[in-house]
Amino acid sequence: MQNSLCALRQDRGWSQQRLADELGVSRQTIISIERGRFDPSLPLAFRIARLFETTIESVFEPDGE
Amino acid sequence: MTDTDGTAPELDRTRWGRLRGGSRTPAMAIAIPAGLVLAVVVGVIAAAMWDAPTPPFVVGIGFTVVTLPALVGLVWVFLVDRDTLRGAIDRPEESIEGAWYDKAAQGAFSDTLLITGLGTTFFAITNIRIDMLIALIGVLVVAMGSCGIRYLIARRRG
Repeated sequence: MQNSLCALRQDRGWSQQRLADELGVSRQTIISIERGRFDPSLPLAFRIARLFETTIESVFEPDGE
Repeated sequence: MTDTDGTAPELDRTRWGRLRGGSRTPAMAIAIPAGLVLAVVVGVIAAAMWDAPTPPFVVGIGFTVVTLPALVGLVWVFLVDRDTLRGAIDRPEESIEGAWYDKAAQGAFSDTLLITGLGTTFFAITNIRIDMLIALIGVLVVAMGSCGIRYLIARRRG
């Protein structure tokens, strides 16, 4: 799944560690999501969207769409 | 003292954490003596049941020393409130490390079934008999080894 998490994070000037702390997950989790190697759980995806005051579908996009 | 989300502030967290239930008592203050008591019990049982030329007190001390770290760790795991551990993330189940572990454990289960199945078949056909303790240790080594290796591979792949 592709996502715009890296761009959203950089727009706020946050480090990966800062975002990880905000979401309560490890920094490695953020790294893997940004690289598209890890699809977050639905609750985590909702928290990401809420944190950036947007919708899930504007952050995540299924492959091939 | 907790944050609004129910977790302890980072400054209030310690390396080994505190007891569950909001206690201020360090978890290790209970885990060490409780683990020691359990290890001594194991040592006494081993000494009483040991059927070999080795003096019973040597067997008892040996079992106590060997099992002490594992039993202290086991008691600590059951007693500690992980929200009071310094550096512990709030949602480990949603982190990628949890996904790596789940994947490794699933693979290890399949590996263990396959290897113990093949081993059982081999020993049944050849009529070779091995000690039950050796067999159980073998199963444990296969399961833990497989899980550990699979976890490391998953972590390396990121």
